[in-house]
Amino acid sequence: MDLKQTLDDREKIVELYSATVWRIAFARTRREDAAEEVFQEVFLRLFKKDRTFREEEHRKAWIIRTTLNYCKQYMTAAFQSNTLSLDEVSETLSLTEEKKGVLEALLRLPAQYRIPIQLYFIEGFDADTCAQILNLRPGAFRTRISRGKAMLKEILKGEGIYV
Amino acid sequence: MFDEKDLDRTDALSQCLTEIGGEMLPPPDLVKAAKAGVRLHRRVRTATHIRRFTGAVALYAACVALLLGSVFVLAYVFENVQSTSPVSTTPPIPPTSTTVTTQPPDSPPPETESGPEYPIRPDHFLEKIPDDLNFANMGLDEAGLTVRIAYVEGTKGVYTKRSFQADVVGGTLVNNATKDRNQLLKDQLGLQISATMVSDRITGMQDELGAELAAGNCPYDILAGYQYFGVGIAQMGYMLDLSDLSSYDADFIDLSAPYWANAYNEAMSYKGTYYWITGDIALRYLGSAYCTFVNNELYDTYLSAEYGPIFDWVKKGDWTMDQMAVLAAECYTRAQANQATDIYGFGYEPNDSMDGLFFGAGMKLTQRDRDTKALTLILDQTDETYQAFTNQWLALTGGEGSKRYSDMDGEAVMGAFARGNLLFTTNQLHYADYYKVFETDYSVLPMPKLNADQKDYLTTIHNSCTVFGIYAFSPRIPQAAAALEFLCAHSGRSVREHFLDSLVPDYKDSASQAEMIDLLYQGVTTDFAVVWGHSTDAIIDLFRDYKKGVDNTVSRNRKKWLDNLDKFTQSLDQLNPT
Repeated sequence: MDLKQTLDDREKIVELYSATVWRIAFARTRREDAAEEVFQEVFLRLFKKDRTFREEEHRKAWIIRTTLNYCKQYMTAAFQSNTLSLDEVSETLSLTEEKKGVLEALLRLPAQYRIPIQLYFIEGFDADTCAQILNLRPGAFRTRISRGKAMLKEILKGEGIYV
Repeated sequence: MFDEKDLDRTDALSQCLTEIGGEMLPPPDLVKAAKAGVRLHRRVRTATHIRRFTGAVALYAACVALLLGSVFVLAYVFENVQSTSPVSTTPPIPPTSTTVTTQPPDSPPPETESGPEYPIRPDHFLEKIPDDLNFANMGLDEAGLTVRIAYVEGTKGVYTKRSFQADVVGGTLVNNATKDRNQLLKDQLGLQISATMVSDRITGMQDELGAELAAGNCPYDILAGYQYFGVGIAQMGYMLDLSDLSSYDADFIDLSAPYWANAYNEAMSYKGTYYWITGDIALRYLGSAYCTFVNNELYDTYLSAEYGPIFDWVKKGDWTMDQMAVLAAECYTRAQANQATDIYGFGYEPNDSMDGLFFGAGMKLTQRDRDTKALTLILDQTDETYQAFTNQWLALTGGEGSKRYSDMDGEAVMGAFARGNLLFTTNQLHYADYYKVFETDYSVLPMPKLNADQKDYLTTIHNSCTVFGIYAFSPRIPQAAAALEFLCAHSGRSVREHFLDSLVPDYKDSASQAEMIDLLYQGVTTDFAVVWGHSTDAIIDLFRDYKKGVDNTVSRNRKKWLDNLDKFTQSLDQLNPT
């Protein structure tokens, strides 16, 4: 059955996916204003057309993929190359010191490890879904999780944070 | 190396990440704006201003260009509207098909997160299809939203049908991926496909549709022909040049994208005109690639201790015909010493499988002029490359370690490999279907190079490859072009992977095996004279007749081939006089 978007659905869809879009955009761009731009673009694009999705899973996949794509577009623009320092990023959130440290460590990871970890541990997607979203073979996705987690621990050790 | 516990979500670090996620929420006013479907402008920065300004300039320029373009198109249509006779020797006039207004390609670029594990260039995906393109929003009826494909199916397998249609009820992963892909076509572009087998004979396309094609009333938009017997239809002048469909509002096909068989299509083109293309959309393209099969059990028993993993030879670039001959002879000798008298190093039949060896060694029959793209047949009997190939071929097949099978269909050699009697054989990848039934322990390698000086591993596709063309008088050219591109792109991402996984053991689990397959498809090529061989009188027999000696074959046929190629290219030149 096709899922059409009605005006009533919009609120539900935003409720359902806003946090995910925000977190992915934030982690990917590492800038609050960039995350806002991406966040708006994704939902405006979703609602601009009368899009239909066969299943909710398809809508979710579209939203995540579009978020990642917009982040890429935003970041590749030459005039967007200046990024905030990592300290500035975590200052925008009110987190405990330990969590700030973990977030900063996460944001310091190369994107190829950061995004898999974000999708799997923070967004809670299963491994196969993550691999599909990122166009990775399941084995490759698992390897990235493994390496990313090891790098994360290494950074945290260096910062004197043990979780 | 991956450890399963790395996926554990219960350790302290994972839980901390989860908690951070719970606290990372979007600003409430942003959420409110999203729900209302409006943009919030409170944080506009200089960079955004610049982008919007440049965006506005670009939009303005696009509008002007669109306006001018429309004037030209209207003038063109007005001038040609009376020229409706399809039976003409001149190239077809673009029909006034359903006009599709394409929006500026403002779609976000595809993510490039996937890294080197994905076979080839993951960042190049549907770049010519605007993200907002959806034919369902253009007021078309169901017929206008249905792309009609005509195909022929040979006697072996149903690969062509399976390229388009999935069984309704469940089935294999390939089947399901095909079904999902077709559904995605409907979801995103509003299109559906209707595939009709017009003949169960591989030569049947022209027989069945020739008259309708010529009369301009063929009821199909896309022809999916059997390459060897089908491509000649282009001589009739009613197939479009797929490299430039902009005059039909259908510039959706991106021939440089990795899911199209770039080198193969280029070789099939004539002076820059692409009447036919193929790629990941065609299971026959994927399944009919010539490869080397190696029996792992025999290799491990007799060779691996001394020669190391077979994959390493390939990775180092040393997988050559002479190396194959050495390993084949060594395996045979050791098996004999071990009383295993029915074991051979290399099994072959001098027919189809020769195509793979020939192209694998970088052999060519024609060359193109760099500027004019004109073709010349290169059949010099004293050519060093031919001689080198002959020498390697004799070294590989001349020893006791090799066994020749004479049946033309290759079933004898296939059976011998399946039963574990051969270390190596070379043939089409889909032969693996047979090996799986026998539970043969095998791996897949690229075709061997001529020698270590050869830069890349090369191969070709059996001439049963499905090739796609768009009928010039189709009233749905934009839909056909968009559907082809979309289906091929998504096949490359999903169907291809499942299909290869079904034929290649450990394809998804072994990085080395996957690398072999990547090398195989990166090297797919062909030769103009071969691919259009049916129109140039079976030049393909040159290497299929290798058992008789290349000199002999060339001297007997040289004049005939030259004349036929000349005549044939003249007929194509008449279609594109410029």
